[in-house]
Amino acid sequence: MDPSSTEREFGRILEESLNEIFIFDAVTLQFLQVNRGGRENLGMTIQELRELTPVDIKPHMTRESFEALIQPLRNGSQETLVFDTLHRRKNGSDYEVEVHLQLASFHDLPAFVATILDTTKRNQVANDLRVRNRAIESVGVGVVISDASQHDMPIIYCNHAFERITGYGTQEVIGRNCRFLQQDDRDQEARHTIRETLHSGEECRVLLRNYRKDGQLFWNDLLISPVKNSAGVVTHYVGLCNDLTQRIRAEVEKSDRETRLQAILNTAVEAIITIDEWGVCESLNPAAETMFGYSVKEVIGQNISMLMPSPYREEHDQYLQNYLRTGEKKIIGIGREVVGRRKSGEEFPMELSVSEVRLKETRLFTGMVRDVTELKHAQQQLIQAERLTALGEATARLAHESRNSLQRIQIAVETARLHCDEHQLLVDQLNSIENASDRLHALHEEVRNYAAPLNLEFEETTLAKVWRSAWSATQHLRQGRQVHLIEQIPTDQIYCRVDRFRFEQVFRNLFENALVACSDPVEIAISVTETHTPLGDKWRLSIQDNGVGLDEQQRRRVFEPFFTTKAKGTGLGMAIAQRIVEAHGGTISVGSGFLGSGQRNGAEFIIEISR
Amino acid sequence: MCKSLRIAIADDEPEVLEYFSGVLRSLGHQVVIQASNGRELLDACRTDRPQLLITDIGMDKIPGIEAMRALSANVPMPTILISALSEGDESLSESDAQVLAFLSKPVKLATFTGAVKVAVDHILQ
Repeated sequence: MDPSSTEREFGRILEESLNEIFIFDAVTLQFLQVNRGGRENLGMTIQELRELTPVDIKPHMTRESFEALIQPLRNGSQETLVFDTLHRRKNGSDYEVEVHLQLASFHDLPAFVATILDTTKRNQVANDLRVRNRAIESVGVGVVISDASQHDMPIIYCNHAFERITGYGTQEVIGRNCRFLQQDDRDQEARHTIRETLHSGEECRVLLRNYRKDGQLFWNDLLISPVKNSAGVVTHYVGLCNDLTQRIRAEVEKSDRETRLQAILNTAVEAIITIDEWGVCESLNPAAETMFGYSVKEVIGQNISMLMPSPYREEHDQYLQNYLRTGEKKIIGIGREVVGRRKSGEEFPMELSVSEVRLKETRLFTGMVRDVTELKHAQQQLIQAERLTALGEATARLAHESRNSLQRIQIAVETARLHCDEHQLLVDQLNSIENASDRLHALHEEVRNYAAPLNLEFEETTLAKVWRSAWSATQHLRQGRQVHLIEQIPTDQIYCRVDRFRFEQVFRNLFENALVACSDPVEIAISVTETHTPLGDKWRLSIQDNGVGLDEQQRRRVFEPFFTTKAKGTGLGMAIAQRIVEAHGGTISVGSGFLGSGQRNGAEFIIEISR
Repeated sequence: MCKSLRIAIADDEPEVLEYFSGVLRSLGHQVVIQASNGRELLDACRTDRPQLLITDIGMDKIPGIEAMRALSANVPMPTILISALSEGDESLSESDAQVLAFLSKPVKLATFTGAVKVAVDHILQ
C-alpha cells in the first residue's frame, strides 16, 4: 500500500473521530489543527480556531497556569499529562472535559497533541451516584447489599443506619452473610420465607428476631429486593432493615395490659356489664353470667332492661334518653340499691354503680353489680338477733319486776289465809291464786333462763350421775304413773367435762317432754356409745321414749324458741337444751326414732359431746 | 321466850317490810330496826346492833349487800339475804360467810320461817 495514502487514510479517521483532537504550536500555543469532533463541539471553524490558543477556550485558566501545567511535558520530565477542566463553546456554554496531552511534532515543528473526552455525561452519572449514595447513607432505614454472584452472598455494603441498628461497624459486616445477625436463634419461620423468595427471585418482607453486637434482641422488619442485570440474572440483594423493637414492645405491653384487664374482668366477683347509648349490652363478664343466669350470647346485643323486673324494665330506655338529653344523673357515678331479675324470673336485691366512658364518637356505660341477697339476709338475721337481745334484756327486767309483784301476791295470799281458816271456799280460792302465781313465776324463770347469758362452770363428772339427778328432779311428774328409765350403757364411767347444773337441765327438759308426751306405761331409754370422729372422740347419747314420736313439722321446728306442742309450756325447753349443749361444744338433734328391732318409734334425741 | 332475837329488817317494798316484820313478831322476835334502804339500816345499826339482819340485796342508796358487808367488817353480822334476782345472779364472795340463807322472791311463808328458824338455832347455839 502507498505510504502516503495510508497516512491520508489515517488522517481521515482522526478527522472523523468523535473524540476531539487538538494540535497546537509548542511555542505560540496557537491551534494548528482541530478535528471535526472538536470544531463541532466548540461551534467554531478551523479559521476561527487558528486565531486561538487552548487557554482561550479554558475559562478557568490563564496563560501562566497553563504554562505551569504543561511545563513537565516541555522539560521532558513527563511524557503525557491528563487533567480535567472546562471548555467554553463559542455560544458561551461550558462542558467538562478530560484532556490527554503530549508533546509531539507537526510538520517537523514541535507541537502539542491534545485528545479531549467530553466527560459531561460521565460526570453527571458519577454525580448522580454520589447524591444517591449520600441519600442512602443518611436515611434512617438500615440498608445492606449482598453480592449474589459470590459464594454465600457476602455483604458488600451497609449504611450508617444499619450500623446504628446492629451495633456493628461496616468493616465487621463486609464479607459476611446476613444470617450472622440471627446468632443462635435459627429456628424462625421467617427464614423459610426468605429462602423461598430468594429462590423465586421475588421481593419479600419478613419480621426477624436479630441480635445486636451487644447481644440485645431487636425485631428486624426486613425488606429484601433482588437486583437483576440486563440478562435478568440476580446479581445483588438489597435489604432494608427497620428496627421494630420499640413498637413491638409497646404492642406486647398493650396486649399484656389487655390480658390483665381481661383477667380482672373474668375473676371479678362483681358482675360487670357495659352498654351503649341505646342501652344495648356490649359485654358482660363471667360473674354477670352466673349472677343473672344468662350466657354471654343471650345478652350481648339485647337491651339491658332484660335484666330488670317491671316497672324498671319498661322505664329504663326512658331513663337513659333522659340522661343523654338533660345530663341529669339518677344513678351514674352515684350507685344505689336496685332490683335485678335472673333468667329464672327470680328477683334479687343488688347494688349497682354505673360509670360513663366517653369515647371519640360515642359513649359507654359500665355497670358494676353486687348481689346483696346474702348481705340482706345477714342483715335481717342481725336485726333479728338484736331484737332477741333486746327482748332478752326486757325479759330479765320483767322477771325481776314480776318477782316483786309475785312477792306481794304471795304475802296477800298468806295474810288472807291466816284470816279464813274456817272458810273452805276462800281457802280453795287462795290456793288457786297461789298456784297461778307459782305457775307464772315458773314461766318467767324459764324465759329469763333462756334470755340470760350462759356462764358455764365446767367440772369433770360422769354423765350418768347428771341424768340420774335430773331423773330425780322429775319425781313430781312421775308420781302415780308407770314409768321406767332404761339405761343401756357400756359403763357408768361416762366421764365428761360439763356444767353439771346446766347439763342436768338438758336431761330434765328431755324427760319432762317425754313424760308429758307419753301415756303409761312410759319407757324412756338412754343409750350411750363411743364414737370416733376426725374431730376427736365423742359420747353419743340417745334418749328415746315410747310415745307417738314427732311429726315432720315437729322434727323441723322442735329447737325453735317458743315452739311448743304442750298445752302448758313456754316452748323454750328444747331451745334451752340446744343452747346449753352447743355451749358445751356438742350437738343435739332429732334421731330417727327407731331402735334395732323397729318396735319403738317414739321421739329420739341424739346428743353428741366430746369425751 | 328464850329463842327471841333482836332483828333488823330492810326492804324497799313497804308491804314486804311490814309483812315479814309481822311474821317475825308473831314468831316472838323483836324487830328493832325497819329500814327501807341501806343507809337507814347502817345509821340505825350504829346505835343498836341487831343479832340478825334480814335484808333485800338491792335497794336504793346503799344496797343491802353493801350494808351487810359494812356491818360485818369487824364482827360478822348473821344475815338472811332476800333478792328479786336469782342466787346465781348475785355473786357472793367467800368472805360472805355470815350469810345464813339466800331467799329468792317470791318467798313463801314456810321458806321464810324455815330460814329464820335455822338462823336462830345458829345464833343461839
